[in-house]
Amino acid sequence: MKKNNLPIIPLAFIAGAAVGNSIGSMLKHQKHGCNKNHCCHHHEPACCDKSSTITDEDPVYIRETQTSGHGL
Amino acid sequence: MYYSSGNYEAFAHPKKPANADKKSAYIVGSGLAGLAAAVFLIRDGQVPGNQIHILEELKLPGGSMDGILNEQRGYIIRGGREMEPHFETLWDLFRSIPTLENPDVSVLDEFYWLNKKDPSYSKTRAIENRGQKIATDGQLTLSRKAVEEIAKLVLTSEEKLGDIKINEVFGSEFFKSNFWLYWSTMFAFEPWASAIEMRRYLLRFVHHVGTLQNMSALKFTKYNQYESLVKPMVKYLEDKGVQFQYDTIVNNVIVNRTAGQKIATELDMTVAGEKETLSLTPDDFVFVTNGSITESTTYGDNNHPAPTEHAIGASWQLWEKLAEQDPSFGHPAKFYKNIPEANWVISATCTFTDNRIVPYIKKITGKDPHSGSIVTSGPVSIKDSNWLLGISISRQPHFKQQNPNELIVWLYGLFSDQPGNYIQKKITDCNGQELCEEFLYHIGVPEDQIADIAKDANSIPIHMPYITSYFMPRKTGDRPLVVPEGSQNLAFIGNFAETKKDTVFTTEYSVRTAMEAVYQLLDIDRGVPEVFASSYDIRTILSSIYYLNDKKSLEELPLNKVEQIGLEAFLKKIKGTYLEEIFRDEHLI
Repeated sequence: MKKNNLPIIPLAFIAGAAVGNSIGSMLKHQKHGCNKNHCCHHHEPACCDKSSTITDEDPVYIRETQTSGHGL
Repeated sequence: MYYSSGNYEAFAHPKKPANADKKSAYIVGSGLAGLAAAVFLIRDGQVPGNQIHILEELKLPGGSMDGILNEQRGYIIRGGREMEPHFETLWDLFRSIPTLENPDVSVLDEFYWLNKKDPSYSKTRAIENRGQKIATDGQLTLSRKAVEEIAKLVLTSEEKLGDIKINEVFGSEFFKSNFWLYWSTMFAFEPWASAIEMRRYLLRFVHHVGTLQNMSALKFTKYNQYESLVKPMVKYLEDKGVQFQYDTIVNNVIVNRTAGQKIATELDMTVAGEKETLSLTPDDFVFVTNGSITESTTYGDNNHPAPTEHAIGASWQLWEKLAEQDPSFGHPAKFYKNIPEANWVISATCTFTDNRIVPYIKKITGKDPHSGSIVTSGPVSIKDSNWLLGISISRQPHFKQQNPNELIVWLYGLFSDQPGNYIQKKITDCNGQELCEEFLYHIGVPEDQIADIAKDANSIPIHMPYITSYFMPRKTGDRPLVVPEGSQNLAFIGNFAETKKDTVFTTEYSVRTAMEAVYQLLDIDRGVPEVFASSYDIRTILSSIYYLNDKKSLEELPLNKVEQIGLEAFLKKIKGTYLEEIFRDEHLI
């Protein structure tokens, strides 16, 4: 392999990971950045995709994800 | 102790440790971890079997690895173990345990041959609308955002995830995916469970992402795990002279802490109701199974719910007594107190002799449940069940003495705070017949037959107050290290002891902690097989990207303009290289 091709390997891995998983695009509603329960319902609607809002029509197991485990 | 991989270490026998003949061992708890510790002490440590004492509070061994025909109640299983080829310490253990039927055949060989002949494959992973396969079954249906959230969690260190819950790191798109449905029901993850454990599972089982939708990577024992795994181990140990002492509660282990050393000096016990103490020397090892997920289990019957009142079990009390003595012995309260109500606590064992349910099971699984083959291959989840009911039907017979016309079905519900869809009660309030009726309703049995079939079946509700305690939110230090710093003769084993990287609620974790405990205290000079390193394998990572995106190549992903340009440049750069080969092998290009 030519020397000038060597840097391509780490770059390629980084690029592959970035494309495949968009690792560079970090979560906006992680615990440390934005609380899900707040951002989904209150002051930061941009954190949640409105088309995927959980409603009463969703099965219980999906609705339960919005609680801390103490019931709906 | 050190970790190793590969055949060089796997096939070698360690030399006899110094002073092995002088050592004695007191193992608290006869679950898989305790039994495995005894096997490793004998096989790898060459400690004489008659110097090993297993202290068990119940009148039988096995711990959570159960399966019993109770004369009054009938067949009882509290759960079933899903196993995989890369439970490295588990298979290291069972290669040395002969089967009961043939001393020249190991439990591993029997298991291997059986799963070659009858491999796992789930035709249906999830149903809804009373027995209908969900329209998207077989797809993971993760949005790009959800995949990004998975990647983010994996890339976050454990130290930064202390006490954080799963529903604090994922959004609604993730929870609406089939991935979450499959994942949570397969491993019993609740939304409030520990994000640390979720991360460990994602890394530990990344090589299974491609088979989540059909469970083809799983392996199962011939019968229930008590008969297939526990009984052969107990026979092996009894043949070696190991002393099993039942009806023995260890109330406390007194630990002397001086000059940075921790030495267990006394066992305080209750033996058959009588208080006893046993003095220890540094040559006496103590292996404590701290905590239990099946302690305090209660049982109901067809006409009575399982009682929900229970005392705190001896294993938790012992851990509390130890934790009071030294901060490095962990924080048991994190795992058995304040467990959310929206939790799995109930399972049920239903025994049917009425063949009217067979067509409904065949329709869902594609298999005749009486054929002798694996039926459900892990759980079938009922997506629209308010209890998030799961069904598991193992190879029949599931007990050696089971009659050919009997069919055993295991049920569990992951949410205990909601009324059912057919039975308007919480799962904890239901008797066996009611639990069975809810199950029959969801698999599509006509309503006019439900009560009749359920009445004829024998259904035993089982209440396990701590069954999800492994997954309680935690931080580093809440679980004691297998051998706490400075400990000379005390180790913690089982799923509440801390070892790096491995995943709790697995048989592998029990055996791994046992092996690490024995190897450390005895200073055995052989590598402990490392946790299967699939998360370090670039092929596996690339493959998981392919499957997480429902078998899309990089070019088929929904990319914006900038990303598309970046991808094109990337593909051009790797053309004709090794990278192109492995990306192509994993179907990404």
